[in-house]
Amino acid sequence: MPFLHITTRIDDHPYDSLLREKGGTGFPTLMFLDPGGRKLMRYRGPRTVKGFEESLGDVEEFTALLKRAEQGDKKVAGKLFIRQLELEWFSFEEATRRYKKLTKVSGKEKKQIESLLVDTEVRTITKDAGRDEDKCLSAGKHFLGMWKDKQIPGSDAQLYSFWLFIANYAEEEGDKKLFKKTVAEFKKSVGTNRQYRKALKVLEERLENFTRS
Amino acid sequence: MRLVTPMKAATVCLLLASSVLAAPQSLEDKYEQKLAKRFVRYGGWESDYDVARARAKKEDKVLFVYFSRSYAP
Repeated sequence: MPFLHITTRIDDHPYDSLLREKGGTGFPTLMFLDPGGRKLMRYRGPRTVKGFEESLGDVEEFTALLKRAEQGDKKVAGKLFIRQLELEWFSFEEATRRYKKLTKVSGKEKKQIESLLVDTEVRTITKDAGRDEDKCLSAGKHFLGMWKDKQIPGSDAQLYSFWLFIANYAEEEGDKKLFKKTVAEFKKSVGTNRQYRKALKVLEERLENFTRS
Repeated sequence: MRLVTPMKAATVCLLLASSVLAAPQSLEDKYEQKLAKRFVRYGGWESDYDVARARAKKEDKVLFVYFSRSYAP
């Protein structure tokens, strides 16, 4: 069922922030949702009939997994939870609560879940901080603690927020060494991603000014 | 009484016309323009989220969402 969502920026336009709510960041974004509005897949493949048909197969596989879990099949719980975390269905608190309840999880699944929980934590904190300066600095401090504990996110989107918030915190604290180290990590992890090249350039300029000051 | 010369009148008309042409479009106009695009009118796209979800539920289908914007090109 094709649905066209248009972000208008018109005051009180219904569902104008739907893209952001579903975790999208740019235009155009293609996504599969279930009738309840839950994200089933972010489509990143080729814009061809074949590409869309193949992705529909993946969507069907995921919805079948959901049905099996709803019918009480505990064997699929781990696999399903991993897909849900990848699709950003839960906040960090909700994800942690659900993870504690999971009983049948293999060692491999556990490793994957714990890695995805780091991404979920970074996403939740970043979203909560919004544009509030104090919250952003506090998030940066928290991420620094995660870094020290070797809790580093895996996805580029979360890595971007992670390093950027730490860099802002380092600047606020006047910690040049930390700022430099953070910019180097930013470059190493997402520096080759075209989406973040401009941000890297800005960070490098900030580093230069900061070092000179 | 001072009369406006034809040259002055023409200049004012031209200025008014150009200001109308250069007037920034409202967000509402941009949205309407987007909806009027050929791919929207003939592509079978539903543009109301509530209607789309209700139809998907009734027809037991998933939504294939194309996120676009009208506030900028």
